Order: sequence, then structure tokens, then C-alpha cells
Amino acid sequence: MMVSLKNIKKSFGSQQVLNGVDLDIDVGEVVVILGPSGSGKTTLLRTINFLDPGDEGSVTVGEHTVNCKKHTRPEVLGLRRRTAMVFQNYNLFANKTILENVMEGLITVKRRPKPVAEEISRKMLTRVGLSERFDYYPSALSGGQQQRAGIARALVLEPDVILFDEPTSALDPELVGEVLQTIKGIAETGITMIVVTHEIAFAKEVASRVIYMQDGVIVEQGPPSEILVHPQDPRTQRFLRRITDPNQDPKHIDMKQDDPQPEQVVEAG
Amino acid sequence: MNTFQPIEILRAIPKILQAFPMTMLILLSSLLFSLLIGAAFAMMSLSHKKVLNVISKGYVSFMRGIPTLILIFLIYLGLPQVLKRIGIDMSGVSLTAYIIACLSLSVSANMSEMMRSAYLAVDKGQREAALSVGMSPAVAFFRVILPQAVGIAIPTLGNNIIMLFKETSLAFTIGVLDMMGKARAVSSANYGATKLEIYIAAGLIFWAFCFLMEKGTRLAEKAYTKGRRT
Amino acid sequence: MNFTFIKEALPQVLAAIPVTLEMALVATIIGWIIGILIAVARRNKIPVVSQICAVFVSFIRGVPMVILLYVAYYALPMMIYSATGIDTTSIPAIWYAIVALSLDQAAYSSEVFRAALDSVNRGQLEAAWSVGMTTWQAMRRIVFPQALAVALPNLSGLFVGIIKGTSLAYYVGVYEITATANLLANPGLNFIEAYVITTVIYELISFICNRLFHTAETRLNRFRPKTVA
Repeated sequence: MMVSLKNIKKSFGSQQVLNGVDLDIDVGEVVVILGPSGSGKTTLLRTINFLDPGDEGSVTVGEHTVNCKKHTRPEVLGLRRRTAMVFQNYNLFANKTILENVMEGLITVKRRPKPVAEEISRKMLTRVGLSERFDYYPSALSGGQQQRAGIARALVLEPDVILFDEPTSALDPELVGEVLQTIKGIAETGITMIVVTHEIAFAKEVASRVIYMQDGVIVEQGPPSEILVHPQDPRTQRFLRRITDPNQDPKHIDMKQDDPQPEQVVEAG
Repeated sequence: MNTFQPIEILRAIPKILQAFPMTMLILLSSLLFSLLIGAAFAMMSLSHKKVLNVISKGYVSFMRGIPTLILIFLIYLGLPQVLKRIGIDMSGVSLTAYIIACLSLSVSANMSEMMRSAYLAVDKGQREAALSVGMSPAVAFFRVILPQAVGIAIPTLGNNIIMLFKETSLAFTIGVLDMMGKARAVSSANYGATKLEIYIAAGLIFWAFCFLMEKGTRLAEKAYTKGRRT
Repeated sequence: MNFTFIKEALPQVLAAIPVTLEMALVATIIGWIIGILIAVARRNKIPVVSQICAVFVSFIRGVPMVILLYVAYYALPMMIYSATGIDTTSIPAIWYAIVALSLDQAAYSSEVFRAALDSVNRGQLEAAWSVGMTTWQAMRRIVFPQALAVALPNLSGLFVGIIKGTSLAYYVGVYEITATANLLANPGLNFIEAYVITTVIYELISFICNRLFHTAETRLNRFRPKTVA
């Protein structure tokens, strides 16, 4: 087992975002999490590396288990050093060049000597197609290039699992393809990945397992051929119908509008 | 060594406040003149004539580089000497007038920068829109641009007034009895026995007024921009 | 103009420059370190400390520099004496001035640092955490450098401000530039000459400081997208 989440609960103020999520992921799995906005999928991803610590439950990555309720700083650090994240808004270090961005973790966390870190980083950037851009600052690059650099920064640390948080949501439509292609290439190397996304076609092609989340729980999961083609739960069915509707912006599907649930009085937004 | 007597702080406050009108006179006059001088230099910096730009820039950077105290000495002690040589007698000018002149000049640089950047911060399209509906450039300035620029400038104006208020405390350096001058006078009246208490009292008075001005600025900003920006 | 006076006085006023710079530099270093600590404390809303800092900042910003100087000059000896019994007459006045100037810089710079830290996107910190950096590493290598680039223009203004502020140390008996010029001018009433010299010196110091800060700014801002100024 590579990643194991046990009974993760999380609320922001009075709003319960995660209602006890259990999830086990094997080595080499590519798990794609789908769900409407507000379903808790991004929060779930962020509880794994404790950017948003869960209120209850536990997170295990590799052999390293951390209790959400009581955790120490070294424990959290240990978790973060076994994981890496690719952010929706790239979050490249603005004061560092692309090359320095990739080197940063190697130097500060893995304590590699600078020349070694530089060599590894150059190779990694070349792999994601940025060999011409080593000394550019992030602000000089397109969104697609920045995101590929973000992927290189995550990959270079050789984490047990890479967490992708809507990696293509902030991109202009014409740049989505190059980033998805890069992620696909990485998935084929056998590294464990958890991807939160709205790209159904990508899920179909790359995922080994698809998870559908809504209202802070996992509604349904299984291989893409099942979940995406013959979903069992009516909620999954409705979501897939809407996301494949060409008039619907997949980033802003709010299932609560036509799916009133009396026990959950939650303000929109 | 004297012992510290907090009660003396309370005793000093009303005495220092006797000079409050003088401080206000200096503050308000300097404020008025600094705004006028500032406006003149702001206009010069925004003009299309290169010479005027350079003069304005030079003036602002000169005023920003010179300590107010030196400016006061230069004008109060130095200027009469120079003018005397060309036959102008300055001995009739009151000390208060000197202080007002110095503080006006000193703060006018900040006022000029404030007006310039507020003017530039108003979207260019506003002027174009005003002209396109047939307003003359002057009408467009007073009815469209100025009201928006004022809204933008209010926080900076508040800061500048607070700064000016604090600088009025330099009036004592040439013997004007503003609040700081009064504090010194009260202190020497009892041979400095309670000087620390008296200066603490003066500090508290200044703080209180600055606090009120800060609150006032925020209220003014709120009231002025109500409905204009969301 | 009395050129004989200028010739005699100039070297003596120039010799006082190090006193002015020493006061300004020491107070800036102390003040900015305290300023950063206050900014961090207030941003993290540390209970009690954060409130005390807020009152401190408001107070220092509301009190004129002259009064701060006087209070430091009269209060500190009393406090030191009653706390330790040490005779304070041997402590040079410059140290009281440095305390007052430091407090002033601490209050003003804390506001600058606070705004600068706020301007750094939280995603930067999260990204640093996500690669496994400690919070300290993230602050030192990612957040602070970006915040500093934002803060620099304001810090430049604060530094020129403190150079100007040191002229008031004259009133607590520090023989810096202003005091020296005054002392030399008085016997022969050579005011205009003395203050023209002083003005030129202050203007030059301000000019050089502005240049230095500007250079630092350009270097620190390399990473920012080029915008039309």
C-alpha cells in the first residue's frame, strides 16, 4: 500500500467538507478524482500533505503514518518529503529561475551538492520539454510552460506519490494538451499519482482508478471503463451527463443547485 | 536622580493643551499653503514642458533630502542675513510665520507627489469619455477627474496631515510656543524636576490627536468613496 | 558669503558625518529586525503579543521624533539606574538617540514588512512546504526575498527619513552634522554659510542612499515581469 487515508474528516468553520473518507492506493496506481465544485476533492488532496490538516483520521504514505488530530512538525515534514504536489496556479517560486525552482528541493531538502542538483534538474526540465528555458523566471513563461516546470519540480524529488491539484484548470484551452501529455508521460513510468481534474478524456485514457466524490464522501470508485461508462450511482450519472454537456463549464458544476439536500444547509460559495 | 511620578503626567496635560490653538494655527495654515504649493509643482510635473518637469522633480527631491530642522535654520537664521545684504529687512516677520513657511515648503513636496500620482491613477478612459460627450478639458478635469483623484488621494492626504502635525513640534526650535514649546516652558518653570513626565504627557497628547486623525481619515475615505467603488 | 569660514568649518562638519551615519545605520539595523519580528507577530496573530505590538506601533507613529528623543534621553537613565544601579552618566548621549530612532524605525518598518509579506501569494509558501521545506527554509529562501523586493522602495524612504531624523539628536546633545554646524556658526553668526554646507551634505547623503537602494531594487526585482514604469 502506498497511500492510505483512514476516516478523514475536515470542516471549515461550520461547513463539513470531508465526511470521513477512507482510501487505499497501491504502488503505481493512477487515481483520478472527479466531482463537482465543493465536493471536497481538492481538500482531500491537501489533507494528504497537510496543507489543510484533517480534523480527524490518519494519513499513511509508505510506512509513514500521521494522525490528523495530533501531529508533530517533524511528522508532517516527513509526510511532505514523501509526497510532492502540482498546483492549479503552478505556484512556481517567483524569485527563482525555472532551473532554480527544480533545484530548490534537491538542495534544501535532499541536501544534494549544487552541481549534482543542477545536473539532475537540467535533465528533468529537458524531459518535460523545457530545455530552452532554464534561466527564465516564471513570469516570462506561458502557463503551460510554468505548469510543466511545476511538474518537473515535483518529479525531481522522486516522491512516493505526486498529488495533482487541477493541474490544467488555470490554463488557456490551447495549452491544456501539452500539460496533459506531460502528465500522461509520467504516469507511464509507474509512479503513484493522485489527480484531481475535470478532464474526463484524460481520466479515461490514463487512470487506473476513477473516484467520484460529492459532499465530502466517496460516492463511487472503480476502473474508468466502469465508472465513466456505466456509473451505478444516480449522482455520478447526473454529474457525467452535465460534464459532457458542451454548454456547461466543467470547472463550475455545482450539483447542489438541482440536488437539494435538506440535512445540509450550506451557503453557496 | 528624580523619581518618576505618574500623577505629574496628568497635571501637565492641561498646561500643554493651552498651546493647542497655536499648534492648530500652524497646522492648518501650513496645510493650506502646502496644498497650494504642492498643486503648483504637481501641475508642473504633469505639464508637457520638459523644463517644468525638471524644476518640479528637482524641487521635490531637494525637499525630500533636507531635514526639516535644517530648512528651519536655513530660512529663519540664514535667509534674513542674505536679504539684509540686498536691503530687505525681515525683522518684522513673526516667528510663527517662519514656522508656517518652513513646514509648508517641507510638506509641499509630499503633497505634490500625492496629487501627481492620484491624477495619474485615474483611468485615462475617464478623460476620453468626458471629452467624447462634449465636455471642455477644464470641465472634464473638475467634474470627472478631480473627484476621482481626491478619492484616491485621501489615505495619503491623511498620512501627510499626520506627518505635518508631528512636525509642528519643531516650532519650539525657534521659540514658538506650540504644544512642544509649551511643554519645554512648563518643564523649565519647575527647573526640569518633572521633565520626563511632561514630555510623556506631550507624547500622549500627540498620540491621541494622531489616533483621531487616523480614524477621521478612514471615515472620510469611507464617506467619500461610498457608492463610487465597490 | 564668508569663504574663510566655509574653508574652516567644512572639514569639521564633514568629520561629523560618521556620527550621523553611525546613528542611522545602527538604528536601522535594530529597528528593521524588530520591525520584522513585529510584522510576523501581528500577521500570525499571536495573542497578547500581537495586541501589544499594535499599540506600540500606533504610539510610536503618533509621537513626534523630538518627544521620543527627549523621553528616551530622560527615561532610560532612570530605568537603567533603578533596575541595575549602574551610574548612567558615562553612557554617551548617542545611545539614547539610537534607542529613540530604532523604536521609530521598528514601528514604521513593521508596517512596511507587514504589507510586503501580505503581498506574497500564499501559494509560494504552500509550494515550498509541498517540496518538503521547513517553514523557516520557506520563509528565508522563498517568502522573504520576494517580500523584500516589494518593501524596498518604502524602506528606502524610511532610511532617508532616519538620516533626516538624526538631525534632531542635536537636542539631546549628540554632536552630529547639525549640532556641529550650529556650534561653528554661532560665534560669528555665519548661519547662512553653515546651513548651506549642512544642506549640501544632507542632500548628497540622501542622493547616494536613493541610488544605492535603487540599484538593490533593480537587482532584487529581476524576477518580476517587466512593466512600463
